[in-house]
Amino acid sequence: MAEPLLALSDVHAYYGSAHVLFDLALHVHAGSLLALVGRNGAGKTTTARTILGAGVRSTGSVRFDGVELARIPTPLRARRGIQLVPEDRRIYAGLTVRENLLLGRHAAADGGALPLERVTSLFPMLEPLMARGGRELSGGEQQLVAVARALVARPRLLILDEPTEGLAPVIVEQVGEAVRLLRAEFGTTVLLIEQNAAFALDLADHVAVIDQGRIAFSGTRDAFLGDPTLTERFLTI
Amino acid sequence: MRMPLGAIVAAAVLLALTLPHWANGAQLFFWETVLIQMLYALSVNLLIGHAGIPSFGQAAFFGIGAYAVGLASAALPPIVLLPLAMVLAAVAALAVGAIALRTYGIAFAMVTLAVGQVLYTATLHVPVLGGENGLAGIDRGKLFGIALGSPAAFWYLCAACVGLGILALRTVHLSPFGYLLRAMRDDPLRTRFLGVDIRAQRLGAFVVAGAFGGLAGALFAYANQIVTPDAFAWVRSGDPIIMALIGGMSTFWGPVVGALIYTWVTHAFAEVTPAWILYVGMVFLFFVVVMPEGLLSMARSLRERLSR
Repeated sequence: MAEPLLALSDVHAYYGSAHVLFDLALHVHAGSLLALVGRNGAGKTTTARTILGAGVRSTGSVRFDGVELARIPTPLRARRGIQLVPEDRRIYAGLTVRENLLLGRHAAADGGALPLERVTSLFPMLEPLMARGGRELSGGEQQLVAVARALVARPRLLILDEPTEGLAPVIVEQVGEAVRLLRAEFGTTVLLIEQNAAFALDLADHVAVIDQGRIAFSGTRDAFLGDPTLTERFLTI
Repeated sequence: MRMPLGAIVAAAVLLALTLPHWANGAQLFFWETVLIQMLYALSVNLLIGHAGIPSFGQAAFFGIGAYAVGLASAALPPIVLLPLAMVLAAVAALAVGAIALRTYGIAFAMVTLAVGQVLYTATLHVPVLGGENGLAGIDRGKLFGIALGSPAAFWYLCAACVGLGILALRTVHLSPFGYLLRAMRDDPLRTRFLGVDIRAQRLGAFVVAGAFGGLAGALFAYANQIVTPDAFAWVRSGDPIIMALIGGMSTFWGPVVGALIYTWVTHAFAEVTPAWILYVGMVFLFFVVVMPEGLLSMARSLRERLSR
């Protein structure tokens, strides 16, 4: 089997003296969507930060496309093709939607950024908002801008951290459609970090469950859904 | 109601063109000071207001520009010396920034303040810089054969330089680099996630601000025809921050309005009382308490509220 696009092994992470991730192992294969689900405080966001190498001290191996990331600074990890849409979806409130989207070009390889016209053709609802300030957008609009901004860089791996948090069900559906769309259009590999397990399982090929900083389950979506013990234990998250 | 920027700029250009025909020498000098302070405050606000870099030492680059003119005005014409002052200030900013920008927040502010004070002290002790008396008798020279000793001729040079400086800073503000600075200010960690080398961009902002601080200092030296150690003093770093606060740090034009208000208030009180600084302080307190985000920021908030 081909080497995964992203491979974490023997990863431990710390906030100061607090040990929050324990011997974490995670594989995300190219073109797939891995849903990382778990309760609040289980270590989902810390995992994302560990992959990007920012805001957390970590040990162990994080390999992306066969390259060890340990000594590579955060901005260069992003330029290698990893884009994070962070939790709470804060976009830059003082910038317009257009400026927010253009910021995504920094992580693109030379000439590889997605033109804004292409972005608005994928997300037509953004077209009338382009000149609007970030602070004038609704929560759902902000989330779509945050996803679209990541897309501008044409990421090889898109990490979505709690993209549905605080959104109305109708907007959650739109976010789900956006994820499907970008996978279908670009074949983007996605690591979806979610507390909303139903939403995540609807989109996922593979599932990993994190519990108290440890991976409690890792396998295919079907294997997860086919095991009543697992679903009973974790679908009530 | 929003005033059209084009109309305001056209009125300002018309005023600049006609001013020497109806203003006396003292009034021209006042308006030269206003213009120079506008440019200087804009350079500081690029750092503090837009990039979120709390520099308390911009006087270092203002002073370098001023002393460049003081030292070389007899040998070089303004058309050479003004760009040279900018380059010298930019190089100094590059050197200072490369070290100081390894720190953040209050530590960075203290490092920049210290650099300004070191240069201030140096002017007192390096003989070629003229000590406490500074360098007097600065020759404005000629530009395209026109003697700049004439108040009107120098006014036009000053207005043109400040106008071009404001245009350049406005271009920076509206460029991808400009909104990247504002993004870094709002959320540095998130901006790193976007693949941005924060330190390099901060250094870029520091150098641009240093260059325009140097241009303001050079114009100041030509306008006053003397440069003293006060060009490097910490008060010189504090004044443009006050101007930007009065006008509004989150807007591009705030420091321009703030410089006009601050310079006019200072001038008006200095005319009538030796305790002018007390009254200037009270005016500043008024702005900080009543409109802490500054005049233009408050106007923008009101406009947004009314349009909802």
